[in-house]
Amino acid sequence: MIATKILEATQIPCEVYDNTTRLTIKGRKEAYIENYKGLLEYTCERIVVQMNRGRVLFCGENLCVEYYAYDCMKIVGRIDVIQYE
Amino acid sequence: MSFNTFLKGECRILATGAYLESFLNLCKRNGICMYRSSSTEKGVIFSAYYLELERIKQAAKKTCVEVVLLEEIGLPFLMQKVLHKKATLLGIFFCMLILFLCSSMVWSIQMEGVEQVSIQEIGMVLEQQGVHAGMLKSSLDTVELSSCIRQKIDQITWVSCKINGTKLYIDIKENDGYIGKEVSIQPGDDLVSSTDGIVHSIVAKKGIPIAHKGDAVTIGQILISGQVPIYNEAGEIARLEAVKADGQVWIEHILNNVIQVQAYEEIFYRDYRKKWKIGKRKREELEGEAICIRKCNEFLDSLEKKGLQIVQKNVTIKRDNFGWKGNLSVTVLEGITRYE
Repeated sequence: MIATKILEATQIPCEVYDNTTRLTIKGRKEAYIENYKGLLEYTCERIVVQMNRGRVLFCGENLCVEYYAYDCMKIVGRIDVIQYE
Repeated sequence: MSFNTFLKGECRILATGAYLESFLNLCKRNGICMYRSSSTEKGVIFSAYYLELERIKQAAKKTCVEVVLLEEIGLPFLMQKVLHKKATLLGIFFCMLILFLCSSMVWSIQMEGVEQVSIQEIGMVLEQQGVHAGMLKSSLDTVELSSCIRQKIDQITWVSCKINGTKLYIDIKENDGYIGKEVSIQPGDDLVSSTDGIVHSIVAKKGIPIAHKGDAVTIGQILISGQVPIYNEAGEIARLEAVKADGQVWIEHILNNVIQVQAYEEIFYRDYRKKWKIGKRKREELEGEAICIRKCNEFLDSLEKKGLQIVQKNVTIKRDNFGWKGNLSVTVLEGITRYE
């Protein structure tokens, strides 16, 4: 508890110490995901990404992974739904 | 495609199988970067760098996924194709060899600063030294060549030879000044004239003065004799006593010289067929006149450095079709002195 309070007081982003997945959306055409574990499902209409805690589902049309590297990935296409599970 | 991607090489891969997501996750854990991926009915198509191809195949084998190379773009693939052809390899090898051999030879010789010395004369010296177009650069000693040219041609005072690329540059400075005639001193003890002219003044310290003021003398003529007559009581010459003649004699004579500056500056060079070629550049009006004046002044300075006293000088510069001609007529006093 004390450690959390100190970290909050120092205003360090939580993804640095907590390994939280960071999701950045640009409009409905691009999504950047950092600190993720892997892909669970990959089709043109559905992409499911395993986060450190839980998963996130992208639904849409012509979805594809622009790049897929060790610490970040980018999804492009027409994103209709983003759902946390 | 960026230049970086072209250098690294890009593979377009189709991955098919039941565990595609596992395959992609394994690739990600192994640090393989995949990009431009798209999901199709057959499977997932993605791009990766050429260096990561082997690890992708290993990951595919582990996850029971089949990978098919759809496209190979970039330098590594291009090199593979080229290196598999022996004729191309041989061609590259011989091309490099010929390039190396050609660059280690002297293919042309260029001379600068040659105005009065004959080109053929310098060419003869070069031929004697074995310098010609097509010779190896390593067998050419520029220092030795410089000193050889300077020694064999008296009129050249300074030579610089340097090789730049496959060209031998010979920079020459000629002696524009007055070269005095060598005096042939007679074996006796007499003081003799080293030039033609008129005696301006004569002071004998030892010996008997033969020439007098106003006499016209020629080269080799005795000015002060070393044979001193000894008279007896009767006033007759009893004997001649030999002394080393000494004294100071000034002889006035006129030096004429013509300085010629050509309207075209010539650049000489020798091509690979060992033929001399002449390139020309027209001099500007002021430039030619300035060169002519400079050379005249250099000539006058050279006289003063040699200890000649200039009594009168007459310099005229004329422009004709061939260039500039400086006519110098200098009346000088030349001191003929011999000290013991």
